[in-house]
Amino acid sequence: MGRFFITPREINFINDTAKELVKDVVGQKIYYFPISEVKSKVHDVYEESPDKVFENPIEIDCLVKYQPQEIRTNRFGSEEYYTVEAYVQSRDLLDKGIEVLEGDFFSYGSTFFEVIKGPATNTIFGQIEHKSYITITGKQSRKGQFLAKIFGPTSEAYSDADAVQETFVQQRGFDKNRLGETGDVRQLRENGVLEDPITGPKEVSPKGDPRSVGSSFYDEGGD
Amino acid sequence: MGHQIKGEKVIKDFDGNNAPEDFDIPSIGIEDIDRAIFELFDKKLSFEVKHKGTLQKVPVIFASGERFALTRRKNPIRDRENTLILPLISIMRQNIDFSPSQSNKKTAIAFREQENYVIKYRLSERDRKYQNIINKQGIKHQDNVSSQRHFLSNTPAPGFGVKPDTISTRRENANIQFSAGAKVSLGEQLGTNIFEVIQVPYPEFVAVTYDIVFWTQYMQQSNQMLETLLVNFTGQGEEIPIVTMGGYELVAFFSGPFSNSGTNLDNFTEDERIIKHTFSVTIPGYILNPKHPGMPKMVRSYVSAPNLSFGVYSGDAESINYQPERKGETVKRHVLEDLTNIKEHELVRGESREIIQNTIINPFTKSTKTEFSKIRTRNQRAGETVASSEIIEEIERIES
Repeated sequence: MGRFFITPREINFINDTAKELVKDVVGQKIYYFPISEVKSKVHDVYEESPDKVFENPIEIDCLVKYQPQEIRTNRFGSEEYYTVEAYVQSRDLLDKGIEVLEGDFFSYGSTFFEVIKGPATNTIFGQIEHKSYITITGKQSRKGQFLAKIFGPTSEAYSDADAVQETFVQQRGFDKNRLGETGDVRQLRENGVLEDPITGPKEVSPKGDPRSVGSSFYDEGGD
Repeated sequence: MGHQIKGEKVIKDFDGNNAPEDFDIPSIGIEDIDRAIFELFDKKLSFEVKHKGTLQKVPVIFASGERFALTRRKNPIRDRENTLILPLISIMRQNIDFSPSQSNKKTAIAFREQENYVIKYRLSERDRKYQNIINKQGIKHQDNVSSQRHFLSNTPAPGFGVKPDTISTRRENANIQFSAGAKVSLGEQLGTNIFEVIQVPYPEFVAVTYDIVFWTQYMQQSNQMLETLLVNFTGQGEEIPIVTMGGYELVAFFSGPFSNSGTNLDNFTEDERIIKHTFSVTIPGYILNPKHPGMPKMVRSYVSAPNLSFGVYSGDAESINYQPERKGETVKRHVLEDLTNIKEHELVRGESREIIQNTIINPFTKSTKTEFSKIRTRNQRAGETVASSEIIEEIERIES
């Protein structure tokens, strides 16, 4: 559709609704570990670093396309190998100042992945300056390649406190929610086109279930 | 060194702790050879091409680094869109030939296992003390040099007891008193000295082959790079001497022709125009004194023995014939010691392996009990006495 109909305001609207879907409804995320080239000791000829040092991990909201692990059987026996695709909104990365680079790592569940590619997959209505999202393809990294603290949720098979995510809190364009800083920006509200929502971020948590059977929608207004 | 199984060689020959503390030699290994070929193309030959009126150094990549390192290179080889900027030189390691053929380059010296190399022959630290004892120059009036004047008593000959803060020796050595034969000189008088001999193992030979690719955008750039390489060949062959960081000299042998198999000028309908020239380089090298975790230090130090000493011993108790020491006895002999090496349990100078029969009479019951004990020797010449209930007296010593 032409620029005559898709103005910067429509672009902002599209980006805001995409954020609303990912951050306020879906709630999937990856933890991104940017490798520090300065802190990592990189071999000057081989350009490799067995002991990589990473910057603080960043929580990135995204849509994740889970793929079952590939079972490989070769001369070393059998091994399971994961590949994953994560779709991250370009505007959100821009807002947070995150640059996704090949060779960085991220965790999804209890598995670490190396970013092998992260192309900008689509533009918004063909407008080259407005990228829609990037598709990060991650290949499972072996323990010798990268290892860091694992952030949940991981699996209900584990007993860690964060193994199962019981609380999901919306962001709704607020700087922070009950869980902490969000870094979320809704451009239409920044530009004064829309006002802030009357109510704050809602959540699904154990607080929403008076019978303590499980998490449920929790309406703070009714508290 | 006898012929041994290769896998055992490192373990056996480099056991022990006789590595010199103040001496080492640089190591050379595969990484050093890789670095040498990289620096040959990156620094020594220094390929440059002219682009838009300016000289531009051609980046060299050792194929290929980790993704994160390539995307964050200090000297970027990609543009903002992460596309490689040409021209480029890539070096990719191929075969490592450890067979006698050495990628048809052979070796200049024997490939087979040889004796260790003696790389240094020097006076031992202990030689200074030894020279003070033997007093080769016949110095009389120096307290820290042995002299007959330092004896307290003349009997038994040649003397007995030493004055405080002086040293002397009972060695049959004319130099403990000034003699016409003594040579007083500032010149070196090497002979009766303790020498330290430092050895390194014979190198393991490897020939490493690399594929080099010149990747350019323009034929003119390609010509410049190829000519730069060709005019740098030295000697009659197509070779360039290189030096590793440790100072080891190697020769890089270039194999032609420059293959243009990667070039797509015959058909680039659906591709970008690519000009690639490929050739290979073989570097016969060797591995010497590698320093990896788990590897022992391979430089070894041995000390010469300027005096050979044979002793005749006697003891009061009955000596039982030598029998090979059993494992339990070995453990018992060292039960109060911290062993750091399996060879430490072996006998060293000053220890003997005989077992003596010791009969103990109980003073109350008058019963007798027979015990077999290991013995410690007493060696006054070494200045030490090991207290033991079964002391062996040295009754004669033959020295050479």
